Amino acid sequence: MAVIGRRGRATTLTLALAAVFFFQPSEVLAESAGQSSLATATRQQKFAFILFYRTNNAATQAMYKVLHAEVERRDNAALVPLNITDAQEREIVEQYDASRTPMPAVMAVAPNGAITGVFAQKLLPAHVESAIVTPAQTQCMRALQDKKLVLLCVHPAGSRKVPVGVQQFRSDSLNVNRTHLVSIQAGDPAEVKFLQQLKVRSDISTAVTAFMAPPGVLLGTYNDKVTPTILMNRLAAAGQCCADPNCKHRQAASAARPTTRR
Amino acid sequence: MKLRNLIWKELWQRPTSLMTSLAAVALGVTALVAIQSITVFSEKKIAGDMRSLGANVLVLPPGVTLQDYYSADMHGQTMPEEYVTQLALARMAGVENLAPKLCVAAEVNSIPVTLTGILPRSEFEAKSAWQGMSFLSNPVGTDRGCCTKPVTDTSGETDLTSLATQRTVQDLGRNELILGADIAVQLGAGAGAELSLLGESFQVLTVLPPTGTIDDGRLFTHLHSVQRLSDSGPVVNVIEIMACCEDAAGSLITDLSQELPDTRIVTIAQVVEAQVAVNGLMSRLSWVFFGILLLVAGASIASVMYANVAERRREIGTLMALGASPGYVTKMFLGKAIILGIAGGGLGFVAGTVLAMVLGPQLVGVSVLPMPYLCGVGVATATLIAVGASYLPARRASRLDPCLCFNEG
Repeated sequence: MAVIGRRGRATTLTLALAAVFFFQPSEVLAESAGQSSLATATRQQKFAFILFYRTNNAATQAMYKVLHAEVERRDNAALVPLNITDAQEREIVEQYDASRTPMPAVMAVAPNGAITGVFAQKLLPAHVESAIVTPAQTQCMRALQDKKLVLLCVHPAGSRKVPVGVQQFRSDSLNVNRTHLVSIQAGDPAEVKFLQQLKVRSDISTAVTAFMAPPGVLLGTYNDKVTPTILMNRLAAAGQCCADPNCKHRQAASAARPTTRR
Repeated sequence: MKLRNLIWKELWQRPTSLMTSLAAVALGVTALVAIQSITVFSEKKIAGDMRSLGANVLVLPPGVTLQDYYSADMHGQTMPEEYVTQLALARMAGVENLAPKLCVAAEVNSIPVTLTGILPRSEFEAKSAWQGMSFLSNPVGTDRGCCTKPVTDTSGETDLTSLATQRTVQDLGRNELILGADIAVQLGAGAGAELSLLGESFQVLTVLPPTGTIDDGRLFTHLHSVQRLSDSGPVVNVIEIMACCEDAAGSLITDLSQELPDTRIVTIAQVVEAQVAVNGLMSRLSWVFFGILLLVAGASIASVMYANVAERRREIGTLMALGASPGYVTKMFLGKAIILGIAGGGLGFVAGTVLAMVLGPQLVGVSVLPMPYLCGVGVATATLIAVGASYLPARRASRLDPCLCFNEG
């Protein structure tokens, strides 16, 4: 009797578990159309351009027209239209705080989840172009948006050695959990645009490190002789005003000037 | 008999005339000291506000009038929170921080309180980060020559009381509260306490140090929590913009007006200009009242002195018959005037200072302290008026003929 009782309880438990797994309410398992499109874009390593809108008015249609044309002529971009009043899309709307953004708006999301641009109420082809950034730039932006310091090391051909000062800075207990390192080769054709914007030549003979801080500030670029003290001093002085003699921050500033060499 | 003793004796023998003269002088000095003290401390407060807030700009719903910077969100009108996102994405040069606020009435343990929703800096910075790395398209050092973009603090150390000094806080959870100094005492709550507000439980993160502003009586929590609990939707009462310097703030006004044409942009200078004008008027009027009241006091003293001379003819005649010179008699009356002036000026200074210390906090919200230089001004002027008003009666007394005084039966 005890054996039958135990078997009966085991069977009941198995059936109950099966019911839980196989008969879930549909809204728990199914993705929304927006989430599905975003997931597809990520899988395909494309930049997703989410068009948030409230009503399909003239402004929305104008924005859609520009975006559609730009996405169509690229193979690394996907268009994801999303009505913020659709209850199914509430999760995405909350994730990107779209209900508090002027409508219509386009948000560009890189394959790694970094947001590379937000354009509200008006969209130009140049905006789409500017939002499609290089792989290294997406890494930097993702780290900055995760509120981390970024050290971008640009290596000369044939080298991947991170400068000693950079390694020491990263390994410091104060910085170990808040610093992200991105390494690229100076001659990488995929990073030409980014390096041009950073004003780093492709024929460098020694490593160059660009030091960045959230939300997107370049603190300086340094050669391979940079020390952790220089980086720490620069970080401590960050965010203070520059040459304006009337600026209240400049009057209180006392940090040493950074040394930047390329 | 010594001159000093004669003067004192005469003063105490005729107290009514003494009091009358004293009151007249003291009243004039009281008016001057009270108004000047309040004006000076009000100007100091404005100067202090300008130093700490001078570069700040307020974005308000249209049609809102503003009397006090610190209560800029308590007008009841709202505007969409999407204006905040618009400003964050615009990344205008010179904008150091944004502080949108929404103010609602609430109750804690049946005590009415003002609950203010604020947006932490981290959320403003996050939206700013969505626009990418600004240095790539907008090099460091704008054409305004001021204000590189401020860097997010990644050290993990947060100054929880920065709301009191910088008007913003780095991070604030949806169910966390920051209490003003006065309301914390009133509620008997400190850091770590649990409070129930609008049907939801909040934990007190910290209590702010006293600021001397209306913020001492407020509770602060996350803006979106206040919006949710009050069913107001994504709206705010005010967006406070901290510009990094006055130079940037000047150009910012134009940019803001273009970016948000359906709002009212107000600088600190505009907020305080009405108060500055009132202070100037009060200061000028105080001197006018002082002059008028002292003239009245002078006339009163002159009248009392003439009556005193007439009343003491026989006494003066006796003194002169006993050898008192005309100069001695003159000194007797002028000495009395000097004492009246000094006493009236001193009394007026004390009364005026007390009046200013009581009325200052109530009328203009400033604490007033004694101003010693006004004592000197009041006493010197009162003495001058008293002596001036007593001069002619004193000369008349000094020219009396003793024989004629005794002949007047």
